Amino acid sequence: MYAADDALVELQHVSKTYPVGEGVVNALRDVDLVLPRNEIVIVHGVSGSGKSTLLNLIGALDVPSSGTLIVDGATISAMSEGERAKFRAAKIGFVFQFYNLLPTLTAAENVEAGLEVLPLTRAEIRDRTQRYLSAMGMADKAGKFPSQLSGGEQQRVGIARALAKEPALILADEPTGNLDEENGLHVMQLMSELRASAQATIVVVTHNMGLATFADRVLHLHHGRFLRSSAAAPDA
Amino acid sequence: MTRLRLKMRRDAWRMRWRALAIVFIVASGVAVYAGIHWGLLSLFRTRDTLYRKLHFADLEVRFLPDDARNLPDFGGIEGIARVERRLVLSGTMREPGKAPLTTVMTFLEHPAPAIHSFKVVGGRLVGADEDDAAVIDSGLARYHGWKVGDRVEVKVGEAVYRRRVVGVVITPEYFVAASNPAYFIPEKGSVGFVFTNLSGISDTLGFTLVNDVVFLFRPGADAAAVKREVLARASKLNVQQVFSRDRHFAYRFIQSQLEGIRAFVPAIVVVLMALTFIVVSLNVNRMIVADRPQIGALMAMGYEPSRLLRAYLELTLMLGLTGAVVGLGLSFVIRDLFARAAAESMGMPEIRMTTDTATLARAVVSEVAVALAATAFPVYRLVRRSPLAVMRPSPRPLVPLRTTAGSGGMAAFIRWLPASHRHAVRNLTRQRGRAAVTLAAIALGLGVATAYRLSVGALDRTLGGWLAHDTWDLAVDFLYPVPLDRLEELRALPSVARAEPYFGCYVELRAGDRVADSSVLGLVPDSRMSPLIMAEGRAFRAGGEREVVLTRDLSRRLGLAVGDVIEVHANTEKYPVRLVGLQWAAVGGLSLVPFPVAQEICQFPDKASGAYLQTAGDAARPHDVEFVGKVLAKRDLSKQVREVVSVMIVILDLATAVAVFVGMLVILTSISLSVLENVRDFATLRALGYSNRLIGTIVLLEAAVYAVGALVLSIPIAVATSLYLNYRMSLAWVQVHSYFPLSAFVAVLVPGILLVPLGCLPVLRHVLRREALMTLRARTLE
Repeated sequence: MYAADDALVELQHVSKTYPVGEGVVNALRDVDLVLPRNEIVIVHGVSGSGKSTLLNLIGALDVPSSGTLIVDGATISAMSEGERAKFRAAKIGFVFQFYNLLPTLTAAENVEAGLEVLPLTRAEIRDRTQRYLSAMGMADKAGKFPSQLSGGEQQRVGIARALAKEPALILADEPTGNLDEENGLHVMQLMSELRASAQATIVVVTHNMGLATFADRVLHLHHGRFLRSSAAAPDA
Repeated sequence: MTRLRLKMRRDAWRMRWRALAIVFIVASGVAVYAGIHWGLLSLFRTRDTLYRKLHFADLEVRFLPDDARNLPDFGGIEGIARVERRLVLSGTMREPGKAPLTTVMTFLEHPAPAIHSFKVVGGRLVGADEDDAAVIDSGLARYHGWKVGDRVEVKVGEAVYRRRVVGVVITPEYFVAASNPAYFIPEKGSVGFVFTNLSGISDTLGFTLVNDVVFLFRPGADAAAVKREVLARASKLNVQQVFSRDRHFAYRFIQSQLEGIRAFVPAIVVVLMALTFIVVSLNVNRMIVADRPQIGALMAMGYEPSRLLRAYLELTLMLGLTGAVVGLGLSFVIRDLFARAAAESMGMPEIRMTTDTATLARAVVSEVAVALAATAFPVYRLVRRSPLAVMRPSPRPLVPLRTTAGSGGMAAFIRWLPASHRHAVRNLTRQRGRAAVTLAAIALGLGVATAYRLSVGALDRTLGGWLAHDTWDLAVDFLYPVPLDRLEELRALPSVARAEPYFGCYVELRAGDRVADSSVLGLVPDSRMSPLIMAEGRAFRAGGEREVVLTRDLSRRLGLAVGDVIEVHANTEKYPVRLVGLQWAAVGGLSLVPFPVAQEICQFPDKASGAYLQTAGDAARPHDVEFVGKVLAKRDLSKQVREVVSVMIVILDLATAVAVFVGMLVILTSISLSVLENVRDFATLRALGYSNRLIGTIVLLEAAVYAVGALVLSIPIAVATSLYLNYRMSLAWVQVHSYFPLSAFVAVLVPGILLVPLGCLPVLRHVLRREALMTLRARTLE
């Protein structure tokens, strides 16, 4: 276990329920979790296990129904929507399954769009954009629009956009879900390499246990509860 | 430029048809608002500039002709800058082969008067010693072809005045001219005006005969006090009429016409603004529905809702201002069309086009504000949700159409339909909100356009029916009040079957603090020549208390109800009268009283100022009778009324054109958006093996349903909007009876409805040309 003062993310008795029709779905049930800084964590589970819900809560996109959620010292559950937006801007980078690039902006402009929520100068924004696109091997395609890029290239732009913010926490929801195996492994390799230099904690939600080789820790979710936690990925 | 701003601009370019729809609707609103107001301003300024430059009289006193030496000295009255004496006589001009033309001949002390001055538009002014020369009003040149060098002959009573025309002039006095004061309508060219030197007639008589004095006040003079002093000094004269500037026919007519239009303009603007709100809201709503994943992603990245809202508002502001620039260009066109039509219908000899930035600013601010509000509403509703809710493809799960066994006759019916029909029905029913909005938008576009068409028809029909109950053929105005027994001379004319006297004069009505000018018209009670068409109350009765029937505009201006007592002020006398009824009238400002009451108020007992004649053919020549001045044919009056009100028809026509244009935009954008939003479904069907023909059938069937639905829905919208427009027109102008002919619906709705399936063809071609696989594999946030 980790001491609470080393923790980047801390969940205490967190539950999340959704109303569905006249009943409710318990997406997360009384979850306790501590994630340290500078680690790659894979959250594994089948569809409906609650892994996306967990990611949304940690990413301050949603608030718990009960329990306490603290990220980088801030209590998410007590924040308003506006405060959470500011928090996400400053602390969190998202990598989406469907890349969510803005179609009318080029690759470089997409990365820049992610940085414009931070108090950076134009020069800093340009510098970071070039740096992270180069790091993702996309410098030569900086001027291309998403529709001119392959799926793997789009996801690399998506990752550059998340990393360029240099956030404390990067959350990736099925980042390889739409990529072939080769591209998927390449993307994970890049994320793993950049994690060290970016000093960020990366949480990857996936049902693909093949990615566990890149993880410092793997968490297994089932029906809203953690089954077990492993330091590496023995079954990868 | 921030990337968010760049994205919004590129999005606008990507969705340029939607953006163009916003640009055009704002442009239309700005153009109509600014164009019509600028038109009104041009007309008012033309009148005021001419009045100022040509020194329109502040006061005019008309009396029975007298020796100029008997006139009091008006010069010493404080506040008066200038006084001029004139002799104004009514007569006729005759040309071989033409009907006699009523002519007013004015004999001037100075050939270049300093009051009611001339603007020379041809030839020159009369010289000081040219007693055989005259200048003519531009109306004589314009409508009757008189020109410099011609010789005119004006017959006044038994005297004939022959003059050589040396110039053509515009005078503010006869800017617009009426042939009969009982009808508050100018008749272009129905009266000729000739101006010559007074010295010519004085030499003949041996003294200077005058019957008219005009006054110009000093700036800042107390008009009422000056008028009181003038009338006090003129008490020894036999004063017939007193006109202050704002009671002068030309001034009053232009004022009332233009104020009527101005009062109606807000109704057009309100309808256009409602359309702007709906078109912009619909387009923005569709844009953000398509952009939901992008907006959600931006929110997840930390973009605050207020920043996103601002970005959309900036985009609308940019489009709105672009629309304002386009609208500015169009507003000049609308101004010119409207002002020229109005000037033509009122007989104004010239028009000075003008603009003002305040009106333009109001037009732009109001239209852009409506567009911004229409943007803020749907965007705020979306961005106040959580990023997760925004990123979900639809705010609510699609409503599946129940097709399971036993779910009812509708489901059984749908199962029975061919595949293409089934898909079309399902597309419509599973996205009911979207279908309803599309349907409502198309219906609104069509409904508003139809409403304007209906109102044009209603106005035209109302005017067509005006005077339908009147049985007179000629209204004959006398040169001076004549004893009733002299009407026998009219009855003796060939083809005259009946003659009925009337008496008309100008009065002032007072009810408490409110004052209104009016033309009193005394009619024979229970007249069959000119029956009263009552809107409220009853017709007046002879005998007993004095009773009056007012046109509705007067009762509204004075805040009167049937049963109230008002005061009629004529010259220095006042007469209490009871309001017993209100009358519909195509022209307002009339006070209708029993004939003897008019004689009493106008202070001419046992006399008539005119007569209605029923004729059995065209043989009657009333001008042959010595005391006959102006003659007005009913058919000419109806024609003239239509021409005067044609200004309103021009406005309605302009509004119809704008509404039809906007309606087309709504139809084209709505139907193409509706098809585009199902593009993935169509790609799936094509991947499953559906032919292009089948997909085309699905799209056209959906379009057909929209067309039929919109047709049904547009009818009540058209009727309700037309009722509102007619109501506003009635308040501002004349009572318009609503009228809903099938032809008006057909004229707008049929082309509009045909446009619905035609509108989806370009986008259908786009859908069918695109590779199905490409559509299905598209991963960008389109």
